[in-house]
Amino acid sequence: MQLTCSRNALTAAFSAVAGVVPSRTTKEILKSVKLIAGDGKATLIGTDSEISLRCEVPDVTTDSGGQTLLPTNRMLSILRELTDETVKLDIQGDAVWIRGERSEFRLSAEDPAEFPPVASFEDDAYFTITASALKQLIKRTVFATDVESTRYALGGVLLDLTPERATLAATDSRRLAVASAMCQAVGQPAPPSSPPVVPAKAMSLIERVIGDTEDLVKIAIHNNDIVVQAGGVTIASQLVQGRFPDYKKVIPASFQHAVDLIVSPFYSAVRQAQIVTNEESRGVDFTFTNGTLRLSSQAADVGQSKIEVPISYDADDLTITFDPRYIADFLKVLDSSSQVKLQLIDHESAAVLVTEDHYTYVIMPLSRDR
Amino acid sequence: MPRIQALSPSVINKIAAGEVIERPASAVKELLENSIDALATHIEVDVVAGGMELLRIVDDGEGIHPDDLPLAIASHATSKIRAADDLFDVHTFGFRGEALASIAEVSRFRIRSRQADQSHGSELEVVHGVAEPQRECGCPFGTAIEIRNLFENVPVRRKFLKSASTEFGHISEQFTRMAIAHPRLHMVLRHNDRVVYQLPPVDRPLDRLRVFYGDDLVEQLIRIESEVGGVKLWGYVGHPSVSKATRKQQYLFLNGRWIQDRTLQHALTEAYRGLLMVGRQPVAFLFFELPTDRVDVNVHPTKSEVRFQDAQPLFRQLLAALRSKFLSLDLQSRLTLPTSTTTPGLSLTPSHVARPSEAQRQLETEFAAWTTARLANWSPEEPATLTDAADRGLEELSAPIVETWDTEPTSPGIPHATSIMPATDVVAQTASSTTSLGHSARAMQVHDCYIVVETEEGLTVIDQHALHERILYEQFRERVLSGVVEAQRLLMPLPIELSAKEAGLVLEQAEMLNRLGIGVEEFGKDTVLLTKHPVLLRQHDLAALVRDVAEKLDGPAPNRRDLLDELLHMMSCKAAVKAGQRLSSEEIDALLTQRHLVDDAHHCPHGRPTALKLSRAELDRQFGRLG
Repeated sequence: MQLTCSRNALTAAFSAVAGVVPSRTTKEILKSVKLIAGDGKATLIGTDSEISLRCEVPDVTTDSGGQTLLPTNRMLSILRELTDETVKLDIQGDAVWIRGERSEFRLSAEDPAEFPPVASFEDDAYFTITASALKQLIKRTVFATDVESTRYALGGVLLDLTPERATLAATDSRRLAVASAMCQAVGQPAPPSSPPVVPAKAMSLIERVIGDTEDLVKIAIHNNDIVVQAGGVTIASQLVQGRFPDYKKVIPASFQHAVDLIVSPFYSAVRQAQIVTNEESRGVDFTFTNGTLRLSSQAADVGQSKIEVPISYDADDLTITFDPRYIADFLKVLDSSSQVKLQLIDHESAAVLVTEDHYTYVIMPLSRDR
Repeated sequence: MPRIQALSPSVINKIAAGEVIERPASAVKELLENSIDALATHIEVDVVAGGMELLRIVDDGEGIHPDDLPLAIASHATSKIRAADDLFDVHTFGFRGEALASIAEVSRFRIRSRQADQSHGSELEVVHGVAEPQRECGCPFGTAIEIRNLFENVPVRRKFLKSASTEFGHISEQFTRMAIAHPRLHMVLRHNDRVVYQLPPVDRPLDRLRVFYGDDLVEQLIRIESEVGGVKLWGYVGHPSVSKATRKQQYLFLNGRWIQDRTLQHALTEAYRGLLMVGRQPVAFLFFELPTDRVDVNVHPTKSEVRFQDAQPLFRQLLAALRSKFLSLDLQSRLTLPTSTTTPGLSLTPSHVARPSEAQRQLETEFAAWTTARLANWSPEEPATLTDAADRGLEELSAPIVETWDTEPTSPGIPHATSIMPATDVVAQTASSTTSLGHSARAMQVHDCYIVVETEEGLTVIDQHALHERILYEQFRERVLSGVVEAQRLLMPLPIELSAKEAGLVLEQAEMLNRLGIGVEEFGKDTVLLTKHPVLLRQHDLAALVRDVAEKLDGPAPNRRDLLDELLHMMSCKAAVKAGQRLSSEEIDALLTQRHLVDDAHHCPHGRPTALKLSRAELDRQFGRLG
């Protein structure tokens, strides 16, 4: 079987699939990418047995049907080094020939039948959301996961889909990120018994693979896995088992003080305060006084810092200590010119940061015995 | 129902024998004590078949008057005390008047004795408590006692005896205790006609220790001396590198009597806290001399347990003496190299078996220098200042701790082991170590596990995990003591299932855990709710942390300070860099600069050494650059 295609298109597709191929695995076969070709189409498939990715290669010509396994790293090197416009792949039994204008490679391949089966998108009932919206939702939540937690559910992002709204939530039990956006349902998908939790790794992969476009992404949820299709790419992932905490309950219903902040100066102040912290002395004191927010930090052997940000605040003085990393994580994913509202109760209770576009971030303060 | 009747003296003696004479070694102990009480200078002990066939103890003491001989084997007959009041002021080893009677009751017993003013000796034989007529005999001055077939008429007891070699081991141990406590006695021990120990009189117990434990151990001993309020404490303790798995090499002598005492053992353990690996015991030979009216030895039939009028001052004295000594010494383990000159490769194992003569000499010189300095400085005022210093340190440090941690009023302030010296001394010590290992010293990491630093004296190899753990421990402790532990509150408290007992213990100690930055709340049944955790342990499995804490709490009822200490150890160990973690040069520098902030950085909290030294002289010698 012979296949001819654009080198650039093949490289792009191959790189996308390589993102899921495990570098270290006991199953040697998973280190390869599977190629299925025929009827003028070619599909690349990679999996680490939990997450899998299929990617269609556009504009190919084939002479007959066939499949093979391609060793990921060698193949990527070849594709990157070749300078030709098009490449030809020739599959002959247990070997693949890769030919450019002036170079040819013969790679021996394992039996493609041994490659584990990988789900494709075959559902009639699913949700749709624009790629750019999904990309933003993932960016705004995935950092709050805790993949090392023994509470496995915290290692994933909760995907709460209704026919109108898609809500993503992630927490490491110290802070919580919740973001939502509009979505649609196609063919009346049955609501799952409990919202699925998708591994952080799969979410990051989806975020990376989909473009920042208004194209629709299809999401189908099954009992044990989720399948997402965006253009020619299909990503399937097993779900994280375990109970995700009831995130709605930990968002405080009311607050005492609300402070409006512009991301850019606030983020800058937090970064400055962060300089004078270390592993042992993490906290930054956020003191709200009349018209000013003062960030002060102090660490033994390092020194201390004091940064002031003008704010509109006229209530009693309030000091609350945060791990500045948690604040920075939130500010990092926002546009520098956007505005956030910081809602506070007291120095011991959870603080809430909200944006106007349905993004809520709850963070628990540090306690220092004073 | 049988009627009540008085027991015959023979039965009473058999019962007493069961308490006092447990095995041949007990008989040896009693007889050796008798000989010493009789002011003997030369004692020979002959043992056949582990003492089960024959025990013979011959001394050159005062002897027994012929008329007193029958009384010697009568129970509750003694020359050592007269009235009950004497019991509280006992200057001799024995005083109960039980030993000979008990032994004679359960063996074939023969005693020969001659006092210096007698022309001939007298002999008395007793078989199973029945005395034969007393006879005159020829014998040298002193007393000779023969015990044959011990427990012959108490088959049950005889059945419980172990093999001859085991029983002889016990006898040898008794003999050793006596020999260490009384170096001026000429003592001989023979087993089956073979000489085991032939100990000519010496001046110092140290020379006896050399015979029993060899030069290797003796060279690692550190001399201790202290006198507080009429209580004199002196002796030798082992360098932390010669720890043992059991307390067997902890010899405590009270007025020449070998004793076991939990308080003093505890003081030893406290003094070595942080210097020894967990589960290891220090080696110690300590002699206490205190007025006889301040201790009651009439507590236990074998008198191995005594009751102090007030054990706390002794505890403090021992602890203070040891800690101040340690702080004045450089306790870093030395790198040892193989003695074999054919393989000049470095062996980085802290073995003390293959100690090269160079290092040995160096150690000896140091030791000698130290002892001379010590003797030169010795003056009658010193004990007083030492006490003052120790007490001041204690008051300063134990006071806040007692207030903070010890809510039970019954528990007295346990001295704070690591900081027993006044602050100025600690600073001085830190300063001196800073000069020896400057910040600018060249350093590199090897095997992602050790840091090698160039020093003025040679080079030092540092275990990165052990050192970091130690540093974290100190910082953590300081924070806990000053009450500024940073804790991250949990947005979603973590429910942790424990056993019912553990859950109870954890909640009981919630206040203390709170100070460590661990917030726990009740969550019904066997589950506790973790509400906050120390920021330092962000990356760790919090459920596992709480379970480990619970396990520690479930231990054998430690006092609060021990517990806190253990938890601090555990948490700093968890938070420290691990072996196998590559460090950037900034990280290495940071570790090394902090090294001097820690007052005894020599050992990690588990007691493993944090650093090994290889001296320039040693390197030169190995490469043949000397001479």
